[in-house]
Formats: sequence, C-alpha cells, structure tokens
Amino acid sequence: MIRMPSQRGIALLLVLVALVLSVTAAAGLARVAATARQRCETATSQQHTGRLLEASEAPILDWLHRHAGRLVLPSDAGSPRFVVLDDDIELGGVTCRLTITAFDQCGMVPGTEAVGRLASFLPNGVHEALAAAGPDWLDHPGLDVLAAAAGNHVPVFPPAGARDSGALGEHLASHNPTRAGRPPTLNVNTAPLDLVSTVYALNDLGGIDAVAESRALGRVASPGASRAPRTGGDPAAIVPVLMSTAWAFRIDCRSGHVIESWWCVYTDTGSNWERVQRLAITE
Amino acid sequence: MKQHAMTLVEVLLALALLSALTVASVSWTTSTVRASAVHGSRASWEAGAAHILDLIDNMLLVEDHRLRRNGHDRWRIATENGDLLLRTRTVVVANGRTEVCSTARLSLRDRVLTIEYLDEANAVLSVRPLLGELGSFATEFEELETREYVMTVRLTHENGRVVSRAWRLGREDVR
Repeated sequence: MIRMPSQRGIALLLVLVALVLSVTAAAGLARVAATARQRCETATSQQHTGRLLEASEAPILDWLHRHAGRLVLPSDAGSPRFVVLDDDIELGGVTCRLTITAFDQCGMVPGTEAVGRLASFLPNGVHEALAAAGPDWLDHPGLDVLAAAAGNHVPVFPPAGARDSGALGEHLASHNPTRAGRPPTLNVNTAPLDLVSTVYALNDLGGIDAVAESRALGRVASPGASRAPRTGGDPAAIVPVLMSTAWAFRIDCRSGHVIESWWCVYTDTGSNWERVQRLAITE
Repeated sequence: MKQHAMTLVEVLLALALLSALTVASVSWTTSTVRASAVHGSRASWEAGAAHILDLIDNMLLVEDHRLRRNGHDRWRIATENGDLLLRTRTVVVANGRTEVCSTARLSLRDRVLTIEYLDEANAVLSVRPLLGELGSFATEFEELETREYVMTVRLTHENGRVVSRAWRLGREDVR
C-alpha cells in the first residue's frame, strides 16, 4: 500500500522522459525540414529575380524608344524621375514584382560640374563623398564609387517609386557628358526648373520664360531659339537640349523574401540605346 | 485521504516539471530553428562554395563598357595557369582610398581560394581570402555549335565533395 505512490511517480517520470525525448526529436526534424525548405525557396526566388532582371531590358528599351523623347515634368518637380513599370508578374506560380524607375542623367547636375558653379544644387554631404572618391569618380564614373566613398553618411542610390529623395543619384549625373570631350547637356523639360534657370543665367542665355511657360502647361519646351547667348559671349558650357541622351534606371526585382536591385545606365548611340553600365545596389 | 493528497501532490509536481521541460524544449527548439534558418545556409562548406559561385555570377552581371573598350579586346573571362580572371567592375578601398578594380583574379593558394583585385595596369589593389579546405579549383570551357561557350567552375573540398555551376557565355566574352 505504501509503495504504490512511488511506482506511480516512477511511471510518470518515465512518461516525462519519453515525452521530452520525442519532443526533442520532433523539433530536430522540424529544424532540418525548415532549413531545407527555406534553402529551396531562396534558390527558386533567386532564379526568379534573375529572370526578372533579364526581362527588364525589353520594357526599358521600349520606354526609351517610345516615351523618353517627349517627357515633361511639372515646374515644381524636385528631381527628374519617372516610374517606368511597377507590376506583378507570375513566374512558376509565384507572384513576383518588377519595379523600374528612370532617372534622366541630362536632368541633373553634370558630373563635371559637381564642384563648380552648380554645386549648391547637390544634397549635403556630397562634397565630402566626392573628395573621398578622388579622381576615380571622373575616370571611372559610376555611383558605386561614390557609395563606397560616402559610406552610410549620404544615400547614393535613389529608392524606387515616384517620390523624390535626397539621394545623390537623382541630383548628380555620372554619365553626363556621355563621352569624354563632349559638353554636358541639360534637358530643359526634365531638370528642376531652378537648375535650368541658373544654367541659363550663368551662361547668359535667353528664353527661360518660354521654357517655364511651356512646362507649366505640360508642353515640350524647345531650347533651340534660346541657345545663343543674349550678349554674344562664350558658348554655353552646358548645352540646353530638348531630349536626353543618357538615362539611368533602378530595377527592383522581388520574389518571395528575395529582393535584388540594380542600377543600369543607357546612352544613345545615335541609332540605338545601349546599356553602358550595370551595377548591383547593395545599400 | 492522506494517500489521495500524496497522489495529487505528485501529479502537480510532475505537471510542473513537465511544463518547465516543455517550455525549455520549445524555447531551445525555436531559437535553434530560427538560428538555423538565418545562418544555417552559411554554416557549411557547401554554402560557402555556393556563395563564391554567387560572387562570380554577380561579377558577370556587373558591366562597364568603359573598362572593356579600353582593353585590346572585349574579353570578360580568361584562365591563366589555373587561375580564373574576370574583367569586371568592383570598387575596393585600398590604402584608404576608393579604387575601381577592372580585373579580379581567383586563385588557389595553400588550399585557400583567394581573390585579387587588379587595376587596369594589373597592379594589385587588394587581396582577400574567400574559402578554405579546398582540394582543387578548376574552370573548364566547352564550345557549343552556336560558337558560344559553357563555362563550368568546379570547387572541390579536400574530402572530395564538389560544388559547381555553369554559365553560357558569348564567344567574345572568352579570351
């Protein structure tokens, strides 16, 4: 009669040990299964983002050929950005998202003017980044050089979407001028109007009122008549233009929990558009 | 009555112990699964090797026409004494300054795969070890009927385990 409770206790302890062992084994199995599943999902998502990046070339070229030449931004636009594509695409039964945002290289402060007369149009901290980057920035133009030099102090690659940001890449052009020896250009229809006004004033050009009026009405302004200096001075260092010859694109590919972002620069070769740079965005 | 009370105490004690052990077990399991999910893929040699192949993949995707046009030809990939040369654009910090690397050289040194970042004059800007315990590092090219190449990079562990990946390349990409 006295031994009964201790027998029950031993039985309960045995049950307890068996329970703990089975829970531990089940947890181990769950861990292995979860890891394997996540590895498989990540590999599939990476394949999808790779396919999305490859597929992004077609809409970019189509947009450059059909739309890029007749774009006008409102007078109060802070930076020359346009959303090209923001779509869900189904790949292998998985819904992926492809976002492409265009940035007009000819609607920003040209790279060669970064420490010149237009430096005040650049965000804070840019000049430290440019100084840290040294001559490599002009020898090998690309936002990756500035991103490495700036560290975390200044955002370099602008985010996707329609909202302006203070990132360096939407205010300072890496590929304007497109080739060494050519003068930099400024698209009067996409550049911030105060930047256009300053360039006109610095180079003593006429016709800024006509440009402002056209942009307020949403019409393409032509700088043709206004190119000549009003007082017959030196030719303008920055040439106002109607259409841009260089565009940068931020491409964001998302599949599951994998997001890959790329920065591509396209230039006009005269008869076609050519991708001259593709960088991975790791910020 | 006393026996019933004893039994009740035993059951309560057992339940308390069971609860404590279950909570501890679930907590350990959750933390282990989470840690495994986040870091597990990098915990093994195979994952490290896959990471190297991802690095090569990324280097092939990164472009800069200016670097390729400055050269004598448009090659992007070459092999030299068992090393793999990739002409690509990588920004490295060397001697406190940012420099643009135009060629990356992957080579096996004392069972460690190492990457050297070179500038346009082939001066070494930076060196970094990538992966240890390597038995061999090999790059093979197979020419296709389309005059393209399939490049296979094969990383072999000391114990014989192999991780490899293949890329299809244009003829002008290969020197």
